[in-house]
Amino acid sequence: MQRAFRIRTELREIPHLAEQVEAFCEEAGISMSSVYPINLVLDEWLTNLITYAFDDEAEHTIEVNLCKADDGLTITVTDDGQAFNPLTDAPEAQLDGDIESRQVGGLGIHFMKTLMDEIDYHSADGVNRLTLRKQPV
Amino acid sequence: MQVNEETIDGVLVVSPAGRLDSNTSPEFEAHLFQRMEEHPSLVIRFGDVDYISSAGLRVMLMTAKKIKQNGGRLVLCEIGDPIREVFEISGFLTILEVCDDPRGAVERVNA
Repeated sequence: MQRAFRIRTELREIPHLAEQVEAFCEEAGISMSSVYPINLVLDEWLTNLITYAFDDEAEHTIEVNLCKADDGLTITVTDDGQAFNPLTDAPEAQLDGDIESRQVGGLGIHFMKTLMDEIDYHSADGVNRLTLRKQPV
Repeated sequence: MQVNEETIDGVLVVSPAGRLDSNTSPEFEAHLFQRMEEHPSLVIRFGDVDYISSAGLRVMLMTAKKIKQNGGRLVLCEIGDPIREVFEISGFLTILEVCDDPRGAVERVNA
């Protein structure tokens, strides 16, 4: 089962997408306990893209594709903004230290690495594609 | 976003409702920073929060830093699953004070 969603580069698109993702998961028989992590990781990535990847005035859209197969869920996010490889370009999240020294930077990517089973990022000819796999769902 | 408030034994208990994400967190942060001007200590109740992302966690961390600077105490309560899991994988449960219910949280503030 597969579904594609297209969103504008505005943060307020994210909660609407989350509702559609939840509906897809329900239809596809994905356990409700997987819905939160899936939406969290998508939210973190889309928030990063929308906040940092588009610095021109042109209109852009981001495509989110969900594909549920027997071996799990594959999520792809395709954009035409500035490339940012979460595996190599992101700072390591700081997970210890006291309140005064703690910073929040990098937590979104940390969620991605913790909650997804596979992460792949590919950028070519101005098109960036993040592929996430979660199994079983 | 909707934020409910009540005072228990002189302590302000703030209850945000719905999503704490990149859309709502700036407004919630401004709300909390305004409350901190009059309340050195706060309890934040998560019972009505359905969702938190790193943007919401950032607000918790900024609030905790500010309250600590001011010599007050911040206690969070009613953090149910799956929100608790987000706090946990962030390492936040070890640096923030967390209690089961608002009354227990207020007792800690007043201790």
